Amino acid sequence: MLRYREYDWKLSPADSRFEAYIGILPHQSKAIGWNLQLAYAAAGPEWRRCHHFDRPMMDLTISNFSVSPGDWRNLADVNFWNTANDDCPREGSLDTTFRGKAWDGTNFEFPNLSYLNWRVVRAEKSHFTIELTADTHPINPLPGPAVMASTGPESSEELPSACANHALYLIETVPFGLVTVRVPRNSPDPARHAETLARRAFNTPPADHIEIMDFKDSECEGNRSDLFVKLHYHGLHDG
Amino acid sequence: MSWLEWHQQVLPTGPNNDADLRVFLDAPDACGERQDWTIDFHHLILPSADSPAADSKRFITARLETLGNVVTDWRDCGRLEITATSAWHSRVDNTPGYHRSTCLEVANATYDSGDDNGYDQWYADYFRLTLSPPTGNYFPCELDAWLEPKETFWRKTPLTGSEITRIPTGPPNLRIITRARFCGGEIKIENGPSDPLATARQRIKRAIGLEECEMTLSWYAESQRYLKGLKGPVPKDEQRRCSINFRIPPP
Repeated sequence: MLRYREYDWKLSPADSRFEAYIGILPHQSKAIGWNLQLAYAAAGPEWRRCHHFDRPMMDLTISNFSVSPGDWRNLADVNFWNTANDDCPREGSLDTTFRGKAWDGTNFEFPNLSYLNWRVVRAEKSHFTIELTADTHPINPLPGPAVMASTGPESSEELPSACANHALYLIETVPFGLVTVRVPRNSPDPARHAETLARRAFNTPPADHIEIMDFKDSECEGNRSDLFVKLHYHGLHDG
Repeated sequence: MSWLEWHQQVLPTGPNNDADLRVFLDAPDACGERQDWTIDFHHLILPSADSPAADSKRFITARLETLGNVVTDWRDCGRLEITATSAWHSRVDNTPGYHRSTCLEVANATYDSGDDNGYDQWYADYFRLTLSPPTGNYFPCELDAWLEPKETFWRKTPLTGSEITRIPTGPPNLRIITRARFCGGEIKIENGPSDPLATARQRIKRAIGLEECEMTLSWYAESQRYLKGLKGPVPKDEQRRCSINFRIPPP
């Protein structure tokens, strides 16, 4: 459930997940990165005569946040709540893209919601429920435990009034969904190589589905020299 | 047998105009609702005495991408009554999961041996659909819809005020009485089960109470192999997530 401006929002499952990236030298921790992707479109009876692609949309990406190494299940311990006083916050940076009307070629907005609090409030098998607030200026952190950990994100009627103080508030359940591994082009078995690296880095199970992306015609030399292997977990993700 | 009225004109329809009722069952790791039903109507309109071409064929098809119902027994679809009010649209559109249109999509197509082919599309956001208890896997089915041409139906801006709850006046301009045959559907199986077909059979039975069906399995890896020009069966280590189409054979 997302509260931002006056719309009712519906999460797009295929485009919303935790994802990780492993660079070409995985033994260097800085080559491992984590992102959280959330994609929404406006929902409700007033939009029934608008094609899905003409509806208002909201995309959020939190990138480069820290997760305890070694196991993807450590996502359950992610907690960047009340980090305003931290000297070196590790909650990552939030990028948002918003469009309030049908696309006319120019009408994307990029709201500056850089004051971020977020945490994982519940973990169930491969899915993680996250709670997030974002603002244009610092706002006192929410008191107490997670807002709707027991009731779940669907019961928006019980949203406390404190959440209304924030420019953006969401509580949502997403899977650990995608690991992208950069492997050398001359690897004899890129898929197996990528799965081995992912297993070492995150203790991942066998992937649901593997895509190998080859950008040999890319203008960027770095992209041409390597292959990018997408390992899909717990569904297929259009990343 | 079926009956179809198009813009207050009863049209002669051919045999075998049963609608297709299908179910989609997602894997356990999917977010949102994992069960979704679709209905497709397709009618061959028989030529009339003043038809311009003897070999002209006309079809009227209608599709509702999601019925918004969840059942524990497929036979319970025989208690389905949809009146597509704004409350229904709201409930279905806000159901967590993949986006599916809540509007009825209708096509009126004519195919001739010459160049004079006609094709126009219509949509309805107000309709009534009723399924009654089945005989075998056939449900008596009635559809009333208030259609608008595609050109005037879709818009770039939302409905406002009374437009949201407006109910059309006048009679429906599409009416269908037919049978809807529950013909099967699709189930997705995650990577893990050693026997996806057996797993699918258990899950279909548990989800909607269907015991007997024929199945066809497709590995997701097939699409990647196709793009690479690889032929032949999918190797064992690539047999991961799959999609299984299941069907109830016609009598």
